[in-house]
Amino acid sequence: MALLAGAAIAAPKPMRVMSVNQCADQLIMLLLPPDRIASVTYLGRRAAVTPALAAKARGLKANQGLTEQALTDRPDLIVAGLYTTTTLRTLAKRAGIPVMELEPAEDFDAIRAQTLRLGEALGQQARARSLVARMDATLAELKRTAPPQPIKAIGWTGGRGVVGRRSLFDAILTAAGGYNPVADQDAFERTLDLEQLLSLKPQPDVLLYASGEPGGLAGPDNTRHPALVRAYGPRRLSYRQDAYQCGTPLAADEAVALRRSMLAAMRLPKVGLP
Amino acid sequence: MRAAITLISAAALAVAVVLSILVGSVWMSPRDILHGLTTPGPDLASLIVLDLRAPRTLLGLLVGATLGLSGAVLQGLLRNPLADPGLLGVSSGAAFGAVAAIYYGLASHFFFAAPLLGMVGALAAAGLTYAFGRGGTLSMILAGAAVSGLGGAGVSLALNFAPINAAYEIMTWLQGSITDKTWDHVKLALPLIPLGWTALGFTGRGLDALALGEVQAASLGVSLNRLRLVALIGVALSVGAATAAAGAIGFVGLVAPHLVRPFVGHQPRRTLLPSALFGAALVLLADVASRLLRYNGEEIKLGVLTSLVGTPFFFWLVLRLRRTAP
Repeated sequence: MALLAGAAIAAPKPMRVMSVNQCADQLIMLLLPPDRIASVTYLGRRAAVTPALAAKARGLKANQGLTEQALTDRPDLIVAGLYTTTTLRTLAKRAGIPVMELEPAEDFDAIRAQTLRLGEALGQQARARSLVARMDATLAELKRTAPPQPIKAIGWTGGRGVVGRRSLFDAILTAAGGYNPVADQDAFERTLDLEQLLSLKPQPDVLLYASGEPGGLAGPDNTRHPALVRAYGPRRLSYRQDAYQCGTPLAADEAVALRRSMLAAMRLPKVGLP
Repeated sequence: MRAAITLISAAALAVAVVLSILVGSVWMSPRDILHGLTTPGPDLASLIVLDLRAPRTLLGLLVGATLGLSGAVLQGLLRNPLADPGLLGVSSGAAFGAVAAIYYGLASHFFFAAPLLGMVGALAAAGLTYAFGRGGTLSMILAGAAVSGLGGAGVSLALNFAPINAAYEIMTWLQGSITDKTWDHVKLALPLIPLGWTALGFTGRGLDALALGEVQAASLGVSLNRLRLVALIGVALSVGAATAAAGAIGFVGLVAPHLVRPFVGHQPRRTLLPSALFGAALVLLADVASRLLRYNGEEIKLGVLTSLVGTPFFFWLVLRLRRTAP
């Protein structure tokens, strides 16, 4: 759900919009032409987000989410996340700059609602409806061509546990025709160490793990542990963590890509434990 | 008495090794384990024991023995009961090297970038400490403190600018752990750690002489500069490799020599072997405890546990020193 805080929006169609949140970056780049974007965060330029959006972000002014930048640039609207500093929100409000907060969207209903609401706030209703329609068409096609049996897949976070049901990851996995057999119903994550992961019975068909970004900022992890390689062999698939963190209409495309790679992995012989 | 404490240390270590193989989040009876190890083909027991617990156990043994031995040598060399491997800046040098590998993304391209750069950092730190501190014990301690500060500042700088994923990896690494370490980590640490042990082993006679005082040691024909250099090389090689493979694990190097000293007396050479054995047993037992002490299903990190347990010991040591000081 999107919330409006601070002063009321002065103009019905904010002309210059500043994003101080990585997920907001993606949404405003999808909804607005470049000349209406005051700046996006420097995080939006990383190729891990999506190559196309990262290229777009590189053509825009970057910010570090600092209050001083917001006050100096004086955008017509600041789009922030729930964890954006209260200093920025308070001072922006005092300076008369409206701040719109985006909550994390953890399923496609939330993505739909958030995209439409943001589109309305930006005066881009038609563009928002078009993005949502494309997402819905992709999801409908995925549903129509779903595999007869869901593919048992778990998302391994590399040392801590598996991704739970209350997550965008689970929404994308489900749309892709997968099923997480061990995720907790109401949790974002379930703690599961490597020994417990190896001893799961029955063993999931596919093990998904979050990959670092190209150019490598994520450090070493145990997704490449020899025990995992022996147990799952080529049925270990990586997914781009950043693409599963931000609820945008592009999440449906991630589901398409995931379906394709899971089906390809399922055609490979199962190795490892009996 | 010395033979007795060595035997007790070895027995404690043997028990710790067995527990380290048997205890984990997945319970397997000794029978299951034996069956898995003797049956050809993939098996859960063999996978868990051979690929997860065995390298973890061996690495814990190497790291613990290194910390215990280094602590004993440094307490003798610096004639300071509060000395441990962190005092000479070697641990923070290793930490800075590994953190730089994570920060610059090298670790995600090349699996061993962090431990390799950790070793480079440890050797560089040892070189710097020696270059500035070779004049005497006090200058060695001060140089070590300065190098430690430099390494710590480097780590803080990396954390300051690190993106969130890298910052998380850095924080995790700094907490110190041997969980999920592989045979490759063991292979990486193995050549350097015994080399370091060998160098440290050669310091025994000099440390005994130094216990009488610097002038007396020199009059007995001990070259103090050479002794310091050999000790520093030994610590850099072994602690550098251990820290690079397992992260920062504190207090073992401080505690182990104190635990054995009441049984072997205050002759530094006599504390070396028992300290190494006790250090290894301590790390393995702490690691076993870390598997059992879980919060929300997650293990407590080994370095966190040794710090939690070691800090009260440190306080006790300070109080005892206050009581016994003239």
